[in-house]
Amino acid sequence: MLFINTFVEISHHSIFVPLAYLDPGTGSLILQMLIGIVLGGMVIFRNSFGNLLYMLGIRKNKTEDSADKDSDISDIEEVNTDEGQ
Amino acid sequence: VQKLASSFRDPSGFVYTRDDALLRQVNHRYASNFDIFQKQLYEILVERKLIVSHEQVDLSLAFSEDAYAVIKPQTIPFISYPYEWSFAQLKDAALTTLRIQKIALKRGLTLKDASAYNIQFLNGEPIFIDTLSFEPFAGQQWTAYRQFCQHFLAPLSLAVSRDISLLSLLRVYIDGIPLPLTSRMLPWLSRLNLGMQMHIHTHARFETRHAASSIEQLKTKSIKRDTLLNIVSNLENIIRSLNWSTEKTAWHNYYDGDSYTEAGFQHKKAIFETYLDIARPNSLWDLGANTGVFSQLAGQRNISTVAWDYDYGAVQQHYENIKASNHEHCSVLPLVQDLSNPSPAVGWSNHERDSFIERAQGVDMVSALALIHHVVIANNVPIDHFVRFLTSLGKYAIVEFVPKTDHKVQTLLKSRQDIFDDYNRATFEEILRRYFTIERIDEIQESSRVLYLLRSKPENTSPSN
Repeated sequence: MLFINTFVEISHHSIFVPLAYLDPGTGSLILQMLIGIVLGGMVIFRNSFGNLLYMLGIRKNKTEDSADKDSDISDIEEVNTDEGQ
Repeated sequence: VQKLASSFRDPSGFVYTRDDALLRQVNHRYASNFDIFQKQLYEILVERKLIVSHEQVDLSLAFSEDAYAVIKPQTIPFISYPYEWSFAQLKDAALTTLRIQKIALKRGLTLKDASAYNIQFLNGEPIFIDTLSFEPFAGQQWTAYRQFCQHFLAPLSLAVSRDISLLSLLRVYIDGIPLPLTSRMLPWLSRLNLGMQMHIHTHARFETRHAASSIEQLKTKSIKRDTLLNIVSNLENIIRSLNWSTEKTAWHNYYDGDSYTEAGFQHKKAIFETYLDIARPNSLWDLGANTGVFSQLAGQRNISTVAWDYDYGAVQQHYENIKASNHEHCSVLPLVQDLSNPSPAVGWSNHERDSFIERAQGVDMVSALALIHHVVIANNVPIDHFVRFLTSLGKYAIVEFVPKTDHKVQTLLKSRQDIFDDYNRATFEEILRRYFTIERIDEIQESSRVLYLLRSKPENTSPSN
């Protein structure tokens, strides 16, 4: 839990009022932060490993570092949000 | 003017009927969200057939003074429920929900709920029906994450790792299968699967542990859009990897059996088509439809058809066939239904989700081919009850009588005492005449089975008991 608290402390601040009518469950919200870190770490690991293979000449293509590999939605223009990035 | 009984949880708006038209009121509190949705997301989703289209109608048609806007959504011919879907349908509904969430995030919005009831099937494909389910994304965690896991991930993973019949738990748990329960039911080995561990097992533990924790401290913590997209993609990959094969059930190759000769089967099809052409129904409920060979004959005539069957494998096969045919005859919707215990009215006040019988209102025709022996002999339902049940489902009926000499009936009688003295053609026809006018009787070639085209007598308007 210490790990999560630390993460939460250092993360961005953006004050918003959720309009949601569902009870999201506090546990489910905390878990998302944690899963985000796990998956983010995996993406970084996969990309650097892929790039290593590329540099060693084992793999032909350089890996893409985007989470969005979905060709069907890649043409959709992104809209900026005030998520505090 | 009447509010829909299922439309009350979300204060953003609700659905109601006015002069037989289905309308959705957008309340003032949702005004700015609605405008952002219209501007940034609506057209993209409609283009991709991911959400029902709507037209904005005059505010004078509003239900109450709180109305900011009134919309008239595209009509869905038949409302089905997740506990009536085959595995493949629930899986496609899950992937549709995730796809919408991905697109929404890109366009600066997020889904505020992920209920399986927000998906319906239109022309053979899943489509989102709740236009008011979006809110601007401003770094908040995904409110609907737990709901998504309960409604989709839990039943799908239970079906794959335990048993397909566990999909029926969705009938008991109207807001999806609770994660602690799912976690306990899944095999221990699923804990070694990272996806299952995170989204089900750890999720269940977190839910219990933080049940009483306040959300306050989280309100000031934001999550990045890319992080959320990662989570959604991860869920997408997990759902894609869950597969259930129709090989596992007994019924999907029922037609391959030896109930008819080739000529007899062709003859049965021809008679069925003739009956459809005489009655010319706009809608049909095919009971015991199996993989839909006969439902598809109705589909070819563009008759809005629901193909009910007891067997998950048969329904899935039928659904996959429609997909594989590139949605030819897609006016047919295959669904799972156990006729010996059909979908009840469930949810708040028993009004949230309509029963099987309630949804038969306005159906023109019902067909029950090679079904009677399963109901009457395998399930001990008197013939009279069965026939009365048919009158409650449609103005016209097509029924097949399967006599005791038929080897399928003989198989059913093998393991039990024959207590069915009145199970014969003469008594059956006598009972039919109590409730129906018999328009046609046709004996199927090279078979002892008989088809009937029936028209309900006008006095049979009350529902069966």
